[in-house]
Amino acid sequence: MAGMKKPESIVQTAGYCGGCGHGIIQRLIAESVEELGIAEKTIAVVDIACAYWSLDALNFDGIAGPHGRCASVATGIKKVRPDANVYVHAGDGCSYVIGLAETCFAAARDIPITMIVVNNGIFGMTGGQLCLATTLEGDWTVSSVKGRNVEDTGKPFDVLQMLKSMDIEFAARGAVYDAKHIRELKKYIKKGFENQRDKKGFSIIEVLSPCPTNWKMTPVQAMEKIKDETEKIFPTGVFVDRGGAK
Amino acid sequence: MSTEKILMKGNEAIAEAALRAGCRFYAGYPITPQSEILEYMAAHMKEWGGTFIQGENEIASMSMLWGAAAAGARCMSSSSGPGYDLKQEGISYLSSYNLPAVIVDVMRYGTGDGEITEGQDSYWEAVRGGGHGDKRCIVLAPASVDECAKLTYEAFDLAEKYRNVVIILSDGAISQMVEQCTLPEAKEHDINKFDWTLTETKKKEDKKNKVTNLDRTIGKPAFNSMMREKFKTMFETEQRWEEVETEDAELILVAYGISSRVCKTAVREARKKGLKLGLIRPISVWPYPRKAFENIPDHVKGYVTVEMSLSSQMGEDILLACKHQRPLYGYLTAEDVPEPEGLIEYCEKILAGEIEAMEVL
Amino acid sequence: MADIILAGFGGQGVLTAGLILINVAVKQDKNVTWTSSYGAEMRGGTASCSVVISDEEIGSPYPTKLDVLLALNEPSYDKFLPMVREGGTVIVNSSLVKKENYPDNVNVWKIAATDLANEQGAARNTNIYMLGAFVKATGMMEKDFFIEQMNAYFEKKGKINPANAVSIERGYELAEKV
Repeated sequence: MAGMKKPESIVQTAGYCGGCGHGIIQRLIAESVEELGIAEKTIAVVDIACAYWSLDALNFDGIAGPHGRCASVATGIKKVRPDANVYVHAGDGCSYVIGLAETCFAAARDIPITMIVVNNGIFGMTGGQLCLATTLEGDWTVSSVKGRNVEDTGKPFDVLQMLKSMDIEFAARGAVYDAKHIRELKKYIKKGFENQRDKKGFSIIEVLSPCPTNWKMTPVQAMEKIKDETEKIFPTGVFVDRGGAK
Repeated sequence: MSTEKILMKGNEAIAEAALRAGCRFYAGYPITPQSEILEYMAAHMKEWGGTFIQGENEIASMSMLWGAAAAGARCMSSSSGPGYDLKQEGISYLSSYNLPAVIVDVMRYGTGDGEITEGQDSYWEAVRGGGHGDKRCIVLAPASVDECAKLTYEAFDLAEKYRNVVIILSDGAISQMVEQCTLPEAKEHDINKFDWTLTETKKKEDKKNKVTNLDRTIGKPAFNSMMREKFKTMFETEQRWEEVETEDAELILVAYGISSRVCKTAVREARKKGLKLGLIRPISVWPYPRKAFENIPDHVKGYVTVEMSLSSQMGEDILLACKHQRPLYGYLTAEDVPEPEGLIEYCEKILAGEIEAMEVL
Repeated sequence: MADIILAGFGGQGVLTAGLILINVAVKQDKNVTWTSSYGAEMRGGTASCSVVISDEEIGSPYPTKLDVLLALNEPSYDKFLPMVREGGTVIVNSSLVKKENYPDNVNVWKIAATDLANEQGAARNTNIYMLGAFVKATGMMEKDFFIEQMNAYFEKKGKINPANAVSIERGYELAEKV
């Protein structure tokens, strides 16, 4: 196993806050493409939000933003460079709110990209506002200071359930709150890249991930919240597996 | 394939010329009166080995284009009116990342609720830039089907020469018109020809490319001076215009696109009556052909901007170009294509002193 | 050389007739433009296209004075007649345009295009009959050359139909000057 050796693709530190889940995800991406021997073919598409940090941290060709449009940008790249390993690393605000249409239609077109969506239930980079798709009912954010009131905002919704109605390759939800889940998550991410390597279809991996800074919690409290609350609403596991890479 | 002269619609000529220029990625969304471009790409892009995508919206289409441009492909999108509004996010990003792309705006008049008419109401949006950002786009305005092909073909080279967005500013009339058109020779574009693009072919030791705001990669001072130099070079080098009978003209009409076609008829008809009209037809509306307004001879008594808008959007550029040395008049017809008779009558009144010079609002 | 409008109901093949005209005219080394009206006029019950055929560079593709009007129905006749130049040519589809009097300052030609097309069992050929009458009335194009180039136009579209040449011949033959 990769052990504690740093993947070669990680070439500099990133600016994530302490206790943030993005760094773990970024590392799993690096480990997976290296283990599959496809690091040199990899093109990263990161959102102009917290995932942006990974642009410089990882030694891949990469492109950032426009906010919300990562699935479309990745579509454009993959269409003109079908042999590239194109992945998206973006948040839930990008992929499920402002860019919900872009995510859904990349899925509907079954574009063979690997889309990694960080569900931390909040708009991190802009200072902790409510995320319409993922902030849990009653949760405090700077734009829901009395807790999320679903009469005003509607309820959070499960995008992976939505995508189940589409003919896509692979959809799974993982989490980073303990080693077991991180190992499981790595399998999902790796599967997403294998699907691409084997010219299969659209793969999406959502990750339940903590944002202690904006949740106003310690890192440990944040991990516990995912385990005790978030995962109850957004269960982990495989949602779609069309067969894909063997 | 050699050059050939055939009858085509303006929109089709744009699409065919783009394919011949090596455009291998098109994404767009249907809207009248540009839909033939999208339909032509849908029908023919595969024959050229490229990708056509009918996007879920304009914003997504532009983002796909953006990815394709960053990966080195020659790419194009097109729209009209409200659809072109939605492209501004993409144009701003392409510009801030210094990515080459060709965007077509087939202008119509207004929002077009229930009725689509020709128009030239998006000059400011195209020339001044609808979106955010410290940028300049080259904007070329074809006035014939032949020019639709010629300028589109050239636009791809210009986009790459400057790593800049080039806009083809067509209009509802030019887009739907059928005329003879000389199609340029087909060429292939090598998507690996630039050293700044996203690729899947780099080696482990190669420096990896980050396609992002360019100032992040080359540093702010270098970026700033590069941009200043680029704006200046584009401005100096890329001014294009046509002059008709300006040598002895008393009044000079200034018009682009469909309006300029009407002006050509007006100049010809007016001269039959002894009225000395001339025409300056900007082909590039950015950079504006200021050189055409240098050393204004004494016989020129004023300029008449002829536009299918009410707000005289180009008038400002004429006053800047002639440095306010002559009065400006406006024959502004909004959604109606101007008619030569009305325009000639208006010019007669100007010379009779019956029309006040226009203030640009 | 000629500013022309072809107008009628949507579905009468007005736009196609205009396209045939310009396709023939370019084979005579003329400059041409073709524009169709869309938007308001379509909803007013008429479909029309403007054709300009010229030896010179063409300015406005929207003629305001006409040398030739082809009116396939009565609303089109009423609408565009005032634009016809003194001495110009007006070709009416007399199956649908039934005026008692026609003006003296223009040359009016009649052809019962709709009836003739129906008789021929080629109901969609109203426009082709009108073109046959056009060839006769204007003398701008030689008939056999017109047929040859029209067939070439349809051939490119993969729609070869021998009935078309018959319609031109009959339209040419039966067009009558009022």
